[in-house]
Amino acid sequence: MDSKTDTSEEFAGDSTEAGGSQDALKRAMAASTSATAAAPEDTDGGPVAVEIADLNFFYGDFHAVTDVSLRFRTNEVTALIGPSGCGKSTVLRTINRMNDLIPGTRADGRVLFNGKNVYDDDVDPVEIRRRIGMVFQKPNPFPKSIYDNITWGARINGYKGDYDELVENSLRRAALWDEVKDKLRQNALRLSGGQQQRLCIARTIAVEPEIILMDEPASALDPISTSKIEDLIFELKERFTIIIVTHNMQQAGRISDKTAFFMVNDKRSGYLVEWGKTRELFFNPKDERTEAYISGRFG
Amino acid sequence: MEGRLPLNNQMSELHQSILRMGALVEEALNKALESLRNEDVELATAVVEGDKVIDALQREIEDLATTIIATEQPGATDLRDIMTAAKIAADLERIGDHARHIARAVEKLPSELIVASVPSIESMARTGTQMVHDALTAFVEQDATYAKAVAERDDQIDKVHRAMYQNLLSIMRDKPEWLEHGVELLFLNRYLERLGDHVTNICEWVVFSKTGEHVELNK
Repeated sequence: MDSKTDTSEEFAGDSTEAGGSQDALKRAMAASTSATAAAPEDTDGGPVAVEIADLNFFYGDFHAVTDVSLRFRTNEVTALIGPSGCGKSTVLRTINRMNDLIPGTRADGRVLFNGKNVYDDDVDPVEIRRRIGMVFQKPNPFPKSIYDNITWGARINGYKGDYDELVENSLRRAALWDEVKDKLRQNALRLSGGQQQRLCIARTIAVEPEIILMDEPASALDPISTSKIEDLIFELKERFTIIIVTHNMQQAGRISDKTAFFMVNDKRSGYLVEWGKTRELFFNPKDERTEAYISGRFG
Repeated sequence: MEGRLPLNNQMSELHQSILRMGALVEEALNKALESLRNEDVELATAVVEGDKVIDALQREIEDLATTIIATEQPGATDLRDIMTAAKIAADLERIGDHARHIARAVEKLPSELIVASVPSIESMARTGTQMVHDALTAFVEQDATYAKAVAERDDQIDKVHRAMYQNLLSIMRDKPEWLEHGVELLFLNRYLERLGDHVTNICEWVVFSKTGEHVELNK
């Protein structure tokens, strides 16, 4: 599949791409260094896939997210955790401009995807959402066949390859193929909740995104389905960069390489308290607010 | 910090068990010393028997630590605290063994050797016993600075240990007929020296529990 537009090439992070985008990346990285100086421990891992710098987000007059700066590295799983209302889902949705769909919202600051601000005027949000896919809390397959669910996005993108192959590959990578290979024409809504969620993941990866955002993807699932999703996340990070919001701290501990902990201030605005390697955050957090949350003590 | 009553109760039980084990170990060391000083075989036997209670308490602490991890999924400070408790229990168990070794010497050594060596043995054992007590205070109070200060006292034990070692060597050189008992005392001297090392381990774990950093004290 190759349906890259001019816009998408602006976002190219591959070092073999044209020099122009590399310059943009370098400029962006240089500009954003100071914004994230509070996390000096973040020096290892692969290249930065997404960098959020000085992000403030507003729903109308409501200042929902305050001064968030954070990096996500390629082929890592980063978990966003924190109490309800701390802005973690809002931050997640700024990454592929999903919040644009809510009227009256405004994002200040930068969300750099391969060095390019996704909020720049010349950026097509639809293209962004293809390259940064999303899986939601409740499985939301289209009321169509399993097969059509997978091919839908590819058809819109003008995919010229073999659709049968695309369906099989996507379902295999989402660990669903063996369960559905004999009923691809069956309506997706007849699948179990856990299968529907894996189908949504298959649908997301079918359009070959670089990043997958997951907003509590397992919170509506039983422990067995949850475990399958977690195994899947572990396998998917080989190919994708994954950013996941979860209420389940143990889940964050199990599946993520990095964890970012958010809280809500007295003006009900979410902010980032601490982020870094998951092991450090869970075993030896630097901030006492993180300590209280990780220990389950909310005094 | 508030919240998590069941976890708090179990953590408190864990700390109490460590303190109880510490008290038993201190008592065992004191009694072992007394049995040696008075050549009291009956008291020595009680120390040997009492070590079984210490061993059982170690297993209890390990089981409790495992249960808390399995049922409460503790994180951060709680988790380090639990790891530390289990490690301390293992060192206390070894110190209990050394109390037993001291008690056993009562039956193995002739009076005149006991009388001659008691001052050195007593010096090391007293320092060690106080170190056990203070290290556990540092643990319960999560005081890493105090833990480091306690560990420094290991030098005092090491000095006496070295002097006694040299002394025993020269005795054995001069009087080969005491070789067998001399070797027995060399072992005893070594056990007492190990006492300080085990307390140092405990202090290192207290620092870990408080800071999350592994340190090497007395190296």
